[in-house]
Amino acid sequence: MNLQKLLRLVWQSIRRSKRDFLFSSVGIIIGISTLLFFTSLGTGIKETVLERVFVVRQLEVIKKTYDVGAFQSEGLFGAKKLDDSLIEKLQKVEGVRSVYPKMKLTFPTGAFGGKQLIGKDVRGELVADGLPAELITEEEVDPTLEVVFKDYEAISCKQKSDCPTAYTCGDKGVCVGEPCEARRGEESEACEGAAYCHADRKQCMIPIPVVASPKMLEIYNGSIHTALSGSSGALSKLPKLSKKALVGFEANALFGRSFFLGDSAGGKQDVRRVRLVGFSDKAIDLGATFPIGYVKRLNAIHSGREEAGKEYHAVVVETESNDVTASVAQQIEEMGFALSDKFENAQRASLLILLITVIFNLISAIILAVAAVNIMHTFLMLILERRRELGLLRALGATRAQIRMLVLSEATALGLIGGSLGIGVGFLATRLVDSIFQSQVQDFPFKPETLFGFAPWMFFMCLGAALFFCWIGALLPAIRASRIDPAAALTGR
Amino acid sequence: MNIRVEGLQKSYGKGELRTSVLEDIAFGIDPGEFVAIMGTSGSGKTTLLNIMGGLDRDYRGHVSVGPNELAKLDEKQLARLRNAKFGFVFQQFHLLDHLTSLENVSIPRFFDADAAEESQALARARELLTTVGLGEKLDSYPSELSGGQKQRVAIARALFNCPEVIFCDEPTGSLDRSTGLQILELFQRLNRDEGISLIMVTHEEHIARLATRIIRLEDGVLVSDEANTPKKPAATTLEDGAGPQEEE
Repeated sequence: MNLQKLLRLVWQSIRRSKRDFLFSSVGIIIGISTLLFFTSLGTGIKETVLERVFVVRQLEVIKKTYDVGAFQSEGLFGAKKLDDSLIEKLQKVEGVRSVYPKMKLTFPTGAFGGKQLIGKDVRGELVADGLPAELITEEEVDPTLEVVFKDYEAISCKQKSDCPTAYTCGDKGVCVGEPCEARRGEESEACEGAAYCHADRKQCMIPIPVVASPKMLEIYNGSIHTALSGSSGALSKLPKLSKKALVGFEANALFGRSFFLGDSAGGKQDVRRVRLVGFSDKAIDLGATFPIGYVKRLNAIHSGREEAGKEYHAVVVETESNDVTASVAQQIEEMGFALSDKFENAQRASLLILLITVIFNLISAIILAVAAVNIMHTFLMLILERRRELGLLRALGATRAQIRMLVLSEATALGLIGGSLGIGVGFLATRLVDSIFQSQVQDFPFKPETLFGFAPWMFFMCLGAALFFCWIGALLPAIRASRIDPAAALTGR
Repeated sequence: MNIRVEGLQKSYGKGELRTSVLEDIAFGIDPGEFVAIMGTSGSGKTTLLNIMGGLDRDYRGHVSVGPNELAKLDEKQLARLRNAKFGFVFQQFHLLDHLTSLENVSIPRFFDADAAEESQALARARELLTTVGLGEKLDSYPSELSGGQKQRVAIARALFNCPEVIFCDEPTGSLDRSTGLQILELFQRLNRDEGISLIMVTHEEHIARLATRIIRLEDGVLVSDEANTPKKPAATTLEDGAGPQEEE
């Protein structure tokens, strides 16, 4: 019996038992829609939590420390250093996609500014770190901006044309700012483009480019903005902020002096303008991230120790996929280093999401199993009702295998129709829940645009599950149908 | 296609509950014969028909159809034999209620590996239905047909693959006498004009008298096997397309 004939027979059977097929497909539709709903929900939440909140693919390697009472110690001989040789080693670990160092400012730093944003300057502490400029992608910082994320004070040159506007080629083969005269807070016409006149140094300088973490924006828009709306004064009128609105924002960094921590050990102080050029997940969670060259130089100058510009505070290892993260983490720990709490949090979150997804998918599986039992029951009833029909088909030349094939094909049709409808219903349910979520739930940090994440494999999985459970349900009836004795069936014995 | 039955025994149950249905039956049927198997209810005539038709394989003895010893054929070969060489007509018609006359007649094509295209198969079914006088009922469902019309559809279905033998189990049992006779005339014509062997089970003497040979069974034992001179067929012909008119 070829496929065309089989399909014709199946169609005739479905036409005959429309109500039974509809009844059987209800369970499959509910089961498959639930399966799609919870699988996509699990994936959606996973994407939000593990890609945005706790980035599980990014391991932050830090020095190993030991708890000694209320303090932490690096041990008797000190912890292993985080330097360039470690970066080389980590790059060779299997499963590692990229490795980049992070260096924090190791001296007190303050900041002031904000007039262009809120109408008056505010003062505060500046927490900052640095990472290699090449790690910031074009999606994170628009390369057409006047100031981009690069170290403008480490540009090698042979002539002036190698340098940016308002810079000239210095004696050491590095670009330096053109001389200028201006008082603090005043602009000088001598400095063109994005450069400003540094009053103390009397030379043009391009603001230090910084990137910020999108999490800060999430926290501001999701929590701080709501809290500020009830405050008095100008802050209560602050709008929600977008990345686009913030790019180009400038403030002043006061290196070597903090409003709370006092002066740096090096004793030197310097006021530099900083400009936000973009947002990146690689940036420090709360603070500003500079190109690492600036941090190295600033640490060497203001910390009072030459080595402060050579040792990293953390090394970030980005793995190829979430699956290999645990193995990479283990290898790093075996090398004598520790991982920051972020990894543990990410692992916990990952486990929790997996657990919840598994529980809900188990519920879907139970629904499908019940549907399979229902299908078995319906099919057994149908086989009983169709005993004479099947006996007749045997008399007219059908083999046992063809009868089995016929019943299983009917189950296949049921699976495909029920599965497709289930996918449709499940998808509509996700749209409905998303729409309710967006309209009824107030903003909160990291509030996702959608709760659900879809991938093509989910649809195939749902269709596969529908077919599997229909086949399971129809297997016994198919075997029974094929064993019908045609003589007995036709004579009513 | 000749049929040979030798030492055929069939029983139901085991041990003390064992009931013999057929005992040491032996006879032969030559191609083109019209044989009536007669007997009272429970005499084993339907069981004998089912065994010869390859529907029942649980027996002892030898039954061969043409060169084929039925017991030696595997399930596939037997199914193919039923599909290609046999036709079946039952007392209860056994039409599928959800299919039209045309679809019912063409069911055998689903199990015939060498079957023609669907359009040709439907053309064949249409031709057969016209032949049995149902040219106007091609798209009617069984519920829209009278008993006689249903049996004509069943006969057309039995003829679909040009069988060499048609097995009929009480083909007029559910019909009134007049309609039953019209169906039997159709059988006589098929036997005479097409040379198809007919083996018909009946418990009615006047129906058996239409066959060329009558085999009588009593309690599973063959008690007589005699030639018969059938009545002359009625004037109605198959080719006139009309068939006998009857109440619906």
